[in-house]
Amino acid sequence: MAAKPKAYRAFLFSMLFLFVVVAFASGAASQQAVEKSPQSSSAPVASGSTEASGYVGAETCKTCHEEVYNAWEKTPHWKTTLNIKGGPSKQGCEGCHGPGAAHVAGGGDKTKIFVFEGKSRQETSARCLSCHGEAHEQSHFAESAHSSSDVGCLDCHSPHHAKGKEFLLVQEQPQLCYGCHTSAKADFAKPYHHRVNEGLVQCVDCHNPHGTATVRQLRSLPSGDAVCYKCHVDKQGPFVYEHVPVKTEGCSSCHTPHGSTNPRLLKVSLINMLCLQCHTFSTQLTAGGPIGPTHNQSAKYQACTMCHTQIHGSNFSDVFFK
Amino acid sequence: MGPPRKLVLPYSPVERRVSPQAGPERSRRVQAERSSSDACGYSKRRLALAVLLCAIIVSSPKTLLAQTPAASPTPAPRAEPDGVTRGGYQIHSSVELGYRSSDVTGSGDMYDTLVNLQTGPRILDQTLTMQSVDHQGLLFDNLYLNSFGWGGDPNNAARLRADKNKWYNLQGSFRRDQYFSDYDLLANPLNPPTSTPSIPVLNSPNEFDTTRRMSDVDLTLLPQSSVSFRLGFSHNNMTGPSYSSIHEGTEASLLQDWNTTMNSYRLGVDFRIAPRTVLSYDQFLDYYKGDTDYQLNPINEALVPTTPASSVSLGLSIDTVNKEPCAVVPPATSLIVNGTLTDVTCSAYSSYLRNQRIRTSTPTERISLRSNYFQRVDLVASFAYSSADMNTPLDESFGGLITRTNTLAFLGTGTADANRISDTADLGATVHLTKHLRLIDKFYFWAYRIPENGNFSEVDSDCTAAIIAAKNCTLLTPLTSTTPAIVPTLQQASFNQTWTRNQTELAWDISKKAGARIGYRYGDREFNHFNDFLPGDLDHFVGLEKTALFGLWARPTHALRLNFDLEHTNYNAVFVRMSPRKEGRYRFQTSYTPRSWATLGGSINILQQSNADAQTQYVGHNQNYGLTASLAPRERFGLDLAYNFNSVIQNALICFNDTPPTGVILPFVANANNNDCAGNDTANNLMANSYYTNHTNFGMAAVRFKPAKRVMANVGYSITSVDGNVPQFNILQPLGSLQYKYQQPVVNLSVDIGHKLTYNAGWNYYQYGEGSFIGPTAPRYFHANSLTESLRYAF
Repeated sequence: MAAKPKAYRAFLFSMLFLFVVVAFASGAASQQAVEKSPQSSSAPVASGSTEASGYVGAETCKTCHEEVYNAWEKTPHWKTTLNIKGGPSKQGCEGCHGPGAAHVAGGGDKTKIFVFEGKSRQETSARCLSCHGEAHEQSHFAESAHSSSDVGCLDCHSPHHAKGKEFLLVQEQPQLCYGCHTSAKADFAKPYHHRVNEGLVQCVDCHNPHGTATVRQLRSLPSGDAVCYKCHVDKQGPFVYEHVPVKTEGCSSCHTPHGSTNPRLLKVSLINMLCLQCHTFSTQLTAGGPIGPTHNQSAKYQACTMCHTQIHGSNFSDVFFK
Repeated sequence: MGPPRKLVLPYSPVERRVSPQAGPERSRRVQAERSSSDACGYSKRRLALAVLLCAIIVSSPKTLLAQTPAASPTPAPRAEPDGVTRGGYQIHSSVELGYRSSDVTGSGDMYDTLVNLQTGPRILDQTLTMQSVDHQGLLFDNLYLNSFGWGGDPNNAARLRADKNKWYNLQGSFRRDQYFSDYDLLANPLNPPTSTPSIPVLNSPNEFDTTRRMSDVDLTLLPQSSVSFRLGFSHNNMTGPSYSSIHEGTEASLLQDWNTTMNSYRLGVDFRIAPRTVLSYDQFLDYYKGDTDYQLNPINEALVPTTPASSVSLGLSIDTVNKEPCAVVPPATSLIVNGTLTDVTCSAYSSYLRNQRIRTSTPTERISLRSNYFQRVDLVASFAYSSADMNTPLDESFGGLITRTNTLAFLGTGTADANRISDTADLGATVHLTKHLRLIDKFYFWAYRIPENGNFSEVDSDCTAAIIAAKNCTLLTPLTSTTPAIVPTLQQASFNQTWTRNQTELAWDISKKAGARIGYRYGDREFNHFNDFLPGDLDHFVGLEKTALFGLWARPTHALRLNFDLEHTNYNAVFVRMSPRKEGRYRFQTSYTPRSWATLGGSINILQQSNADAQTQYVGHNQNYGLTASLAPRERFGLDLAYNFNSVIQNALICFNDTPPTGVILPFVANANNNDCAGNDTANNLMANSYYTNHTNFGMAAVRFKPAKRVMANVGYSITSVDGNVPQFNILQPLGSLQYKYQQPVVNLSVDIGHKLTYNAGWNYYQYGEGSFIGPTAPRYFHANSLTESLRYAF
């Protein structure tokens, strides 16, 4: 479709912005010590062979940290020890903690190796993202609301002490999310709610905790449509007669997605009032907007959806009767 | 198609499906009793089943059991069993078999709407994990399978993960959701007692009893290679009956047997084109089939004196005083006498059928890039093009009488098709200006257009002018006395929107203990709705969004964490009347962990919206205040507490038409301004401030304790208490779920009985008491006991 000049301008502005920052970043890259990979840990790094670079291998770590090693051996991270192609900087304990030779030589000196405890969330998350940042699921983490709020990888995941069955989570969903999002816990306890507590739906079905391109870390379908249509497929359309707010304002203009005290997760308890609040003459809309029904509210038609049954969109009726 | 399995028609006696003594359940119990002695003597391999059966028997017949994950306290952590090593795998497995008994007093339909846990045996939970000892298994290195809810619970799911190092990652899930809804609010015709006959519609005319089954499988091949492949498939199928209505003369009740299917195919490839840089291409194909038919649900039937006699449905609305579907004509005293319609000029349905065969094909292509190549820049970008193509024929037929058009029958045919062509692009960059300062930019673009075409033809069999003049157009009039009238409809429209949004933030990590961010979000939306492509018939809107962003976080001590976020948005225009012109979001969260066993939390979430337009005056807010505490000072004791207060309002001016019956005074109507909506809408002469207020208090307490070495107990209670207010437009109008208390006490007991067996028993109590005015509808109060006994075998 023909996008308007404003859209193009915004796009061009972003491209220009990107060009500037990339040029700036690449030019100054060598002068900064921002950690992008485990190789650049606080421990001294030398180039050359495995021995010379200061990597000692996970078995060496095990000699002192046997209990930690035994637990870690059961996690998916252990298979990094098989990553011959990636080299020692991608393998085993040192894949995350950096080269350990100096640490060993120092008799276990913690300052000679990267220790996650005490580091900032940005530092620890950068460690994880040096491998996991390539994945599509985690690709937006740097721009995510979680990252901006100083929520790092280790707030939800624990490589050594995971309690969740999957993804090394420190706690199973949804309790993990409820730990911070207490209002969501109350919402999902309301009589009408998506079946999160029941285990049918998970928070990550609708939100990506690692960030998305849209607000509120909401997922969207590849077509750009709301994630709601992943399950509610019959509402997606396209329809011959679209109910405009469904597309322009989204499902949340009438529904509260987490939970509601009203049936069908509606925002208010009266259907006719919900409809009338939009379907009333308004000078702020072209041609006054959609004027409301003329039905006598005391005679019948108390619920508009009694007749306008196909309210999410219709293929045969411009008033959504069928 | 057979009758709906569960839906209760308004004219049908209310069926109680939930009873501990109901036939099948009782049969199961009798069978269990007969086999109990044998079962108790079985070998160890069958010990689990035997003990389960014994447990069921020792329960009193009136003992009621239940288990509801939603109301249960946080489960106590289970000790990891040793597992077994077989075939090079460390294997852990568990299975929990049980029996649930539910007993409901009051509204069974409301119980099913809110809880829907029924009586019967269940596979409550099952887990299998296999881990290759040397991480080099033949087919997989790790496998995780979990499922729950089999045997009749409304929600059950199975989730699978498997992987083999370097070769593949596999994820799969199956989910089943049984959805029952009967809340008599969304489509109640409010048949009054003054009507003759008076037939109240007690149950919702929009009942649902559907089941959605969703399957997802995603396979990644060569996940660690420079080129990796992704394959995926999703299947979504919804079946089951529901009711709706159609408005043609009267409100006929329709039954639809849902059958919708969405099959989604995904194919993707990732190229690692440079260090820490991945370029991806994805191809998606969604194919939707909507095969739901709508047919007449013969509600409120009456005979008409044809030869031979036939019956018609008068529909849901029976209000003879307001001539719905018609008035009583003296000397008759009722519209229906001895089952026969006394006025054959009434609108009524003898038949209705609408077939739909919706087919929508949506291919989507997406290319995306992710890169951390540059030391200071994290970059992510993608572009997707999607083109949906929908088409469906119209096949509709009606028989009966529509008095307003004197139509005895109509036949609708034609085709409907629509497309949705969309472009989606996003671009995100995080620039690490210094070690503590980051500039974050997110750009998002979404444009779509939906050209719509409808080409329909309706052939109406209308009474001839002579018959109408003679007032002889009735349900008895033969179709041979009609003249066909063809009503064509040609709809050609297009609905287009372009949405651009850019957000820039500067994040500053002041120290390890505090940080802040400030940002700005700019949005630009343009919307065009071509109603028929004629000059002057274009709805055109341009709206700008300007949002200020601010955030703070602090960790003053290792135990204390504080977060504050603020968003303040101004919109220069609105697309719909109730959209805000100003919006503020404020969020505060804190957690305090003074001891490793104690976590305290608090949150404040405030959303404020307003639109000061003189004819709208929209004011809304959603304020949420929450406190939580989780204490586990000893292994043998734990305590969880939570409290939350939620306040919601949504107020705006509305215009409406309302003439209460003589002698009835509705304060909202009486106090409305009778000014034809400021002279703009003479048909809706009343103007008033519509208001919705809702105050919800939620409290939860749960205690976990270990009274003996092998015994673990949980005792919990939760309550949701709601109070609210809305205007009343109609003397009979139910006000919805405005005032109620929903209480859910719970007790769980878990006993380690050795031999890798754990006996679990759980009691749930549900009480829903609604204080709102319900009008001429069925009471909604219910309380229910649900008791679940189970055996869990784990190794």
